[in-house]
Amino acid sequence: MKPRQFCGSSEHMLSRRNFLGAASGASLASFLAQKSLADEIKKQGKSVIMLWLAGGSSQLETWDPKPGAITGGPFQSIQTSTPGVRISELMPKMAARFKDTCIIRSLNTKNADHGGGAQLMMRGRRDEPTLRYPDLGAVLAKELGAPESQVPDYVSFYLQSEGRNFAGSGFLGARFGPMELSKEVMPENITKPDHISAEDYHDRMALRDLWSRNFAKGRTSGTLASHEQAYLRVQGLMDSKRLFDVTKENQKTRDRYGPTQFAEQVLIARRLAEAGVPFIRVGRAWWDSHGQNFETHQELVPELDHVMATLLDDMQERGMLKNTLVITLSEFGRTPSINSSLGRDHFASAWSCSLSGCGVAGGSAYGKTDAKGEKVIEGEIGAARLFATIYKALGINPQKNYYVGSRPVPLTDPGTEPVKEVLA
Amino acid sequence: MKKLIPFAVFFCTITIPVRAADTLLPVETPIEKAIDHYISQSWKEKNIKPAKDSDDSVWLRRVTLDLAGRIPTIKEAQEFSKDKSPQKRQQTIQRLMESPGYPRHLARELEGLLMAGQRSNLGEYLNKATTEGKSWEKIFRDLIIADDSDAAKKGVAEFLKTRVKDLDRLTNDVSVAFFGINVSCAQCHDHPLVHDWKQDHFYGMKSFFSRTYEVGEYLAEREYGVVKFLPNKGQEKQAGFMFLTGKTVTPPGLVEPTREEQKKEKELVEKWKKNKEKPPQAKVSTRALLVETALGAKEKEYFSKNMVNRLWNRLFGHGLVMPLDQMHSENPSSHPELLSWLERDFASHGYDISRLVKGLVSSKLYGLSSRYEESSVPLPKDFAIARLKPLTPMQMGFSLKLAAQGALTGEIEKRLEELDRGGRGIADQFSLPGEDFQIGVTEALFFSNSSRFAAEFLPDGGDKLIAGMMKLSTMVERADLAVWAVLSREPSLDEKNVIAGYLQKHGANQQDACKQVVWSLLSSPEFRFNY
Repeated sequence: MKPRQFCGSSEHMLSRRNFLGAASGASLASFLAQKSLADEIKKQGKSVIMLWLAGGSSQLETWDPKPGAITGGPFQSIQTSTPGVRISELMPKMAARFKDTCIIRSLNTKNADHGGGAQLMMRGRRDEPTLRYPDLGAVLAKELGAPESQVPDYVSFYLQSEGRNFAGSGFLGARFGPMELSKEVMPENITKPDHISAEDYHDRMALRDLWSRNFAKGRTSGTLASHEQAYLRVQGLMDSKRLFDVTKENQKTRDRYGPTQFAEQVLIARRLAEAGVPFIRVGRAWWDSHGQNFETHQELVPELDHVMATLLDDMQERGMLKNTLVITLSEFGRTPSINSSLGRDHFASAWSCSLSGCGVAGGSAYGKTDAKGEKVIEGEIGAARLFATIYKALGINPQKNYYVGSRPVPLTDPGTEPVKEVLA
Repeated sequence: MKKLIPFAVFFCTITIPVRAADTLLPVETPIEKAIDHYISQSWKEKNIKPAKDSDDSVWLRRVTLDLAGRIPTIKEAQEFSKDKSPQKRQQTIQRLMESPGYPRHLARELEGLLMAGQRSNLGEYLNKATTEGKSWEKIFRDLIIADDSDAAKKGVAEFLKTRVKDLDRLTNDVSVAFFGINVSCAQCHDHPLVHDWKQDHFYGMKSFFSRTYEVGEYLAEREYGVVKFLPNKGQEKQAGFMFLTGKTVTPPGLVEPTREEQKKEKELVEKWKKNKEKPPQAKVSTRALLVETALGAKEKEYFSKNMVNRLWNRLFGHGLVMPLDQMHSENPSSHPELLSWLERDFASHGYDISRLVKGLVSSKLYGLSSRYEESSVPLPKDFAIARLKPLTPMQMGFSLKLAAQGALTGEIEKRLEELDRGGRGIADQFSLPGEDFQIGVTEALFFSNSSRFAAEFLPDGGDKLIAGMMKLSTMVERADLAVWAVLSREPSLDEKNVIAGYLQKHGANQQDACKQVVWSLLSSPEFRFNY
């Protein structure tokens, strides 16, 4: 794999120009240019793996247990490796290797509807009537991917049906849309068809290139460039097929992650991140525990605990953790009150998520809910600040403007501050 | 000093007209002449050298895609290139606009404008409307009044029905689609940048829709009701029925219903729902009132300018005002006089879409080349070079089908309709181009590796293009046919040699070699764009 720092993309050339500009004087402008160069360098080689717990996982059975409270349910809490921070006993492995993770326990995102909640937590804001915002994956594909990248830049595993179709690249368009894996772990159309030999396949592409070069003479257009880039990326993407093939991973590593579908996908996600894919989401469904909340979580949380801890260990051993951010997130949490079917319902006013690795103050917990977990009493944040924090952790300016036509659209709403305490 | 704005004229006491109508070119000027006059004047002022005229084959492909939603057939392309008549472009425009493909394509373009690329059931109504040659005013009236009790207007209520659950969205979508104004910012506060738009405007527009609600699969409209909102400064207030220009109207029933009335309504709704009954049209419709207000003497400019700008954008790949939904005083047009002239012309000729389209494609400007070899390249808003327009999903589906078909035989219009229908399935693979459109790698992978693509567009046997090429005896003839079929033009000598050389080199399996050549042309940017 070519190191992404030397991909020679126009974006990086831009930062080189910034650098040259900055070297020529000590004005405020050059200081700012230098600052943006620093940001530019900071975000190179970074990736995000998002573990998306579709349906809404319970904060009380994961990151914010309330044992003994009337709302607490049957599970106890255990001490993490950080004194004073306790998480659910269903997560012993994460408790033991807590040092790279920061829990946020004070989300109040107000939207407790699956569709609306998922859209909000994937974009960090609500769509406007005529402006569809890109989700985190699309933004990171643009920010962290190289235009002519030879690997996919946004991969989304969603093999279960629950909670699909809330992602999307919004106004950024198809170039930054997800490569969706909804039927099998192998992407569609990534294999050369059998009816054509490798040589002919290559030759016809060369013929196409010739028409393309002739057509481009005297013509400039961003859309034309994107069409060209798309074809330039075909071969690389086909070569990246091996990344999706979990059998290419050594058996010992596969055994470590375990045999479940979720574990395999997370292992593939690690392979992709290692090869320079900026954003990978692994959807794990069936968290919507309106009935039998405790059985559901007793089954799902230990798997999450094992897979997440293994992923963090594995990436640390490979030296990837400082450049990879692992986000564990849902569309919302679950009610502290337990309903008559021993379930917990949708709840968006006091719930938790976690960030691990890149740019994060590991071994900490931010924010607090009250004794019953019914409301946030300290450090309340919404989706916007969570996203500003994620961007900041990755070295991306949360106030950076995109342009929809000539209209500037900042990455997060003006005035949205990242949460300093969460950041390393 | 803020610029004086056209509509400030209407509701402020200051009445300094920005552009007096009498300084515009005379009303009887043909549309195409007015366009070329104003545009060449702006080039002169800015010292811009426009691109050369495009050649006949490029022009024909462009106008066929724009008017019929497909590339030319081989026969059309070859006959046009041989035709020596000086009227051949005018004749072609006439022929295309009279063909059944024209209303079909126009209906889809309108659907794209109204539904922004979302799937909808508006197609049936729009097809009927464009086939009958309905004006934009009539279509607007139909869609907003949405009386589908008339069987002839089946599906007309779809525009409202898909939005009625969210009146804020409905309000903004109507403003965007029909008046080129995105008022969503003014929902929560007076617009920070645009002094024209206050919260009063947003809620004023919303008032017209506030009495509309859904009953099962039907729409109903109350004959009373008001909108109240909490301004970001001050006390809750009642919105007036106010159009975007600030013009207010006073419908009857400006009261909130009594408990008794609410109860009665609830019972009625239950009854309608239970019997799956269509509620009666309201005697006083505030939606109808909106239509009348928007088409008023001093208000219609918004309605007219928006459609002029949309059609201009569709045909020239860039609006006279950009973005298309920001037609306000702080965002002036690149060519204000031209826009005013076209707006006046459109309004005074009954908002006849086809008349305007015909004028636009008849201009010299429309025939400019998309290639520019000079060193300093003019900006898109100068319109000195034709823009590359990515094909829409439906243009793409139809054109792929037609190219892969090769020569057409039999009843041509019928065959074309079949191919058009056949292309719909594949259209889903593409997205509707908007501003700054980007093509993703999924499309390139689909062309390169999908078995569906190969089966549909590079098939063995039958009467299709590959089989047609195989019937020819020389490599050069095969090259010739492939380029005419896919790119709708004669290949250059170089191209002929390259393709013939390719076929020669891969001679062992000539059919596969033909497929590879056709693939390279179908996946080329020359096919992907209307250029």
